[in-house]
Amino acid sequence: MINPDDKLDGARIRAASGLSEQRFVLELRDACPSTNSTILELALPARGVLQLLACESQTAGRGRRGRSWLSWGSGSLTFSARWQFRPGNAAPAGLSLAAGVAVAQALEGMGVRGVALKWPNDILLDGAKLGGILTELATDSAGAMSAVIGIGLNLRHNDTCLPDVSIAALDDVLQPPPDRSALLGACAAQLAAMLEAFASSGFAAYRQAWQARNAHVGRLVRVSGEMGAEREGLCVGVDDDGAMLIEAHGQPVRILSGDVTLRPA
Amino acid sequence: MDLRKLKKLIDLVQESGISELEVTEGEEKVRIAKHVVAAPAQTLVHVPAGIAAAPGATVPAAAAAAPAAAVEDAQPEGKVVKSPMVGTFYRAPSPEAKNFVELGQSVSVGAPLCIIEAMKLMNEIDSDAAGVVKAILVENGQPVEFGQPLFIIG
Repeated sequence: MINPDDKLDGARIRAASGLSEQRFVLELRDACPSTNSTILELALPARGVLQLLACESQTAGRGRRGRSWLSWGSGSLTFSARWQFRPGNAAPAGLSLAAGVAVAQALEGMGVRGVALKWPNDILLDGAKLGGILTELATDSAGAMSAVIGIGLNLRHNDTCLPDVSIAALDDVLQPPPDRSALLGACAAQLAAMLEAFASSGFAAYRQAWQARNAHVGRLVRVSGEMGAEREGLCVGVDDDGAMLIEAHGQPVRILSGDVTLRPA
Repeated sequence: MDLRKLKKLIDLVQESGISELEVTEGEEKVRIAKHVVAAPAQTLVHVPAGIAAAPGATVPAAAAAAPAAAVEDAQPEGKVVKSPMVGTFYRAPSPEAKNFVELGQSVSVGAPLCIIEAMKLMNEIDSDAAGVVKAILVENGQPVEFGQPLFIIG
């Protein structure tokens, strides 16, 4: 349920973002199946304009490869950002990682400490999952390519679920948790800055910021693919395009997809 | 080509399911071959995009066990849909879902054919031609390179 005081407020979101109407268009909905799907039904924003759709309640939130993403009213914040790239732009490798950095920076700006990133873009708080990001590329019939970045953040723990130590919420570290409209505005500001920088210099500009928040640096990790393939190695960092670098048997290996977990000791 | 790069290429071939790799850089050409006894194991390793973009540099992963020329000879005529990026090829939106398309199926312009994923960036590839799916050149879950042919629509 949404507490009326907690309802997303367009004016407060825009004020917190510091972005003008020429750079940022905002759409708020009470409910939608999935913000990533619904934002594609809106008119494509002009180049250089951040489009953002936030929803109080997602009924069919999606994660990677068809997994579901739960949201629970004012205890969570779910939204999607959409950005149009120049025609002919190469697929924006590393965009999902840069989006993770942008959200981490927004949280840090609100006074949240202990935020880290798990490759490629899970947002962790003291080692537990605080948020997730799903980035999808869409190319329309005219060849215009846009990226949709779907973000879900936990503000409060869901009382209706069993306690789960692998899930974090902002009220673990901030009481009360940040105002949702202010947090969304801060995310919009960081995402707009990131997308502008990314359009000109790609992930390289965000590599260092990502590595500074790497939850697994220097740890032994296991990477599992959907088809059952597994690799293990020491997490070294990320490459210029966002690929994870692990060291296996003394050799550097680039990882482009798969689920990363810490290798059990 | 410097020795460091050469060593990296050898390591990549050794660790991957690729049986042979040929890289042309200016006037230099390097060919690295591996004798595969058993079927190559599936791997998550990709050749870096910059190298993969060199002409003739890659053998499609799904065809690694067969001579590349034979595969090309057998390809039906039609519009070749290529991968716009390095990543993993998925034929369905989720592991439990139905494939986007099957061999022999008619598709219209804009119909989704597959997803290429890299680093949790999901890139849905739509058909830019209307016709019948004449060939599906990559197996589900396999790594693909930039520019690698995925489908033939004719």
